Amino acid sequence: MAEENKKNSEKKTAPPKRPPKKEEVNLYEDLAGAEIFENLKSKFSDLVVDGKKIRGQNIIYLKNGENLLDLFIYLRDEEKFDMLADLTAIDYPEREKRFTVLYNLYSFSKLERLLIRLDISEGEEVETVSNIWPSANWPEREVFDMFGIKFKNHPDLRRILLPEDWKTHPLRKDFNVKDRDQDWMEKHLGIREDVNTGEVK
Amino acid sequence: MIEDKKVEEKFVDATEELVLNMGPQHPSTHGVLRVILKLHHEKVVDLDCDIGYLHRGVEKISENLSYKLAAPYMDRLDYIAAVSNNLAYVETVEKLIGVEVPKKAQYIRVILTELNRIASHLLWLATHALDIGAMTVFLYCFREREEILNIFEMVTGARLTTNAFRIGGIPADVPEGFEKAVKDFCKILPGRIEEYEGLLTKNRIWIARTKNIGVISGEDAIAIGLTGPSLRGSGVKWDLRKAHPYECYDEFDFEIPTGKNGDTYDRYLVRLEEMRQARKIILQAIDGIPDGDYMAKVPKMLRPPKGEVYHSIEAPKGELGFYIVSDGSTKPYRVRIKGPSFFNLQALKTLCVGHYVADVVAIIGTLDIVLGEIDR
Amino acid sequence: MKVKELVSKVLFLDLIKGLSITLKSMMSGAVTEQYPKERSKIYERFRGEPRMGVDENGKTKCIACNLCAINCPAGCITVESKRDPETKKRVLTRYVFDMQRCLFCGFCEEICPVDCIQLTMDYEMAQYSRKNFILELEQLEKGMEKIKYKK
Repeated sequence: MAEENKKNSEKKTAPPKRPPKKEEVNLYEDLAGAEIFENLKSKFSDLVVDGKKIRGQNIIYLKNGENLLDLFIYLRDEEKFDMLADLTAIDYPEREKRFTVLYNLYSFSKLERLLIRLDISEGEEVETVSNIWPSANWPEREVFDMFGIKFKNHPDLRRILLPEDWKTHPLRKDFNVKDRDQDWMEKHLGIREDVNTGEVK
Repeated sequence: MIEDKKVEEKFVDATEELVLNMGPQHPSTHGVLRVILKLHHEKVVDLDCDIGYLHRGVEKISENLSYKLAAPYMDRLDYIAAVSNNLAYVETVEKLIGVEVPKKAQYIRVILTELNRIASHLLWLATHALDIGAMTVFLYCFREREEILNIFEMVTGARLTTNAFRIGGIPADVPEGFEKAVKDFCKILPGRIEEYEGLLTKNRIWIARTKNIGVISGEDAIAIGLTGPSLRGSGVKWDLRKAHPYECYDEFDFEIPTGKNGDTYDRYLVRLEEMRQARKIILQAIDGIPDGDYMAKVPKMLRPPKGEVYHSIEAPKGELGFYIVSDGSTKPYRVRIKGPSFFNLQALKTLCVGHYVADVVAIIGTLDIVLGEIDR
Repeated sequence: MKVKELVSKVLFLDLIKGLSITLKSMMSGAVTEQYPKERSKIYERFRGEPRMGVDENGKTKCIACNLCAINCPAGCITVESKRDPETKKRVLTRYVFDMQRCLFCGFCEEICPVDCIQLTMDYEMAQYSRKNFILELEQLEKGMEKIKYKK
């Protein structure tokens, strides 16, 4: 330990070198020509917007449409993406289409992962995939809980992590990390915090 | 007499469903899990899990911290397997910034992660057996887990939430005596696993309580999103260490144990075998630790390029994945944690329906859930 | 196979095996420690109670660089400093360590350029009042007040 510390301190006392300014690195590559992308594009040309590859990971960009479920059924049955490993969302408040729903599919037969980004605007409803992959049930509830995105025809769309009468959606970017639903706290805990100082009244 | 008979008949014919609340403060729910059971007589008809009691908003917190500072929070997701959680996060950031970790650090990472896998499985076995009623195994498992925690304390400085790795390698070289401690532990482990097997594997009570309980087929398990030993118990031979090798797992020789029936008993056997395989990996790695650097050159303030990356590792409970979106600043734009327990717990309903109330406890145990990771 | 199973069932072989294992470990001493009397070995890298170092004159080593506060994931360190008008160096005026928030991750110890803050091997940090967990510089230098119990 003593030796470690010595080593570390020696390292630390060396004058800090300012790294040369790097040029902006573009990690995204075009996916054009990849089999899965071309297949999807030929079958669902109205949905598929773009395809990218980043660090060896295929990402397909979609837009919402009526035959969205057909695309997912095609992916499950024809392309053998038999597991929905994850489903989540990302919030881009400055964008016109505010939210991105991210589907993380995995194929056990091909040992391959596919990310699918579906852009939607605020208030837009997405068709649920929990009938295609039952594992989507809880993640969709979580996305509803955290972002307020509604899933059409979901069997049981309730809040999952937060209390049912909570009002805000914490993972949206306009929600501060220190914010809390003050009305809920007053009702259930009998306390109210000062928004700025965090003092309990 | 006639009156009594009428009452009896009424009870036998009763088709009313009883709603039973289990938890959140229940010793066998492994944390603060509340299960609302709908019972018909003594059989489960329907159930609903109420989670979120331990929600701390780790995803939101890490959006507000720099890449390096978020790492200790990840230890607190699955606190039984803190090293694995830390590894998954650190590796995801490394993949994002494109850093190659020195071989020595990789080997030590593998050793610590596999030790953690054993520790996690030991705790699982301890609590699972305790739920079903085998108190002795509980005490024995904690005895061995203590040895692993001692090794963690020796290497990382903490026993539970270790904060073991840094982005780019490990914070310090292993101390003297590490190799001996690991080897000593590996020496005693097989005998100890045999002890647990002697207490449980052929035990008639254990067999009665676990065989044909919570059966799930391979296809159903995949559809519901089960990963890890719970999936392998159903006969799906899939392990991220083999399918998509990270660190230097491709250099080691080990087997993926699988079950046949997909019941609680098979999952028990799979986890026991996994402990032996983990020991095998540790022994190969400890003899092959190369000399050299243990930390790659990483800038003090990380500014990953714009992009997004998903990386997952085989945590003791299943596939633990991190999805990080970078907007080019010092803080991640979005961190998504794909916890295995969250998806495994989802299968509880499928597994429990049709079983007795008492089996619910066994099934919660066999899924090996940790609420810290489910609620995040 | 069936006969073998039946025999073992009738003869309670599984129970006998289990009992022999428990009997064996009953004979082989206790593995537990009698805590206040016996203390387990604490390894050198253990991250326990925070302590601030002093130099040979008894003055604080801290140079008020604020690195520990920046590198604290929980934000439990507050450093207040002012500039000395003569030497133009920063001088520490107040250092507060909130132990209730501390994660014991060790980042402050790692980043400290003068090896001032350290997480020591002391682990008995229980206190009766929440106030006692908010440590000022003076307390950090001599360690937390420990409540000693007599038998």
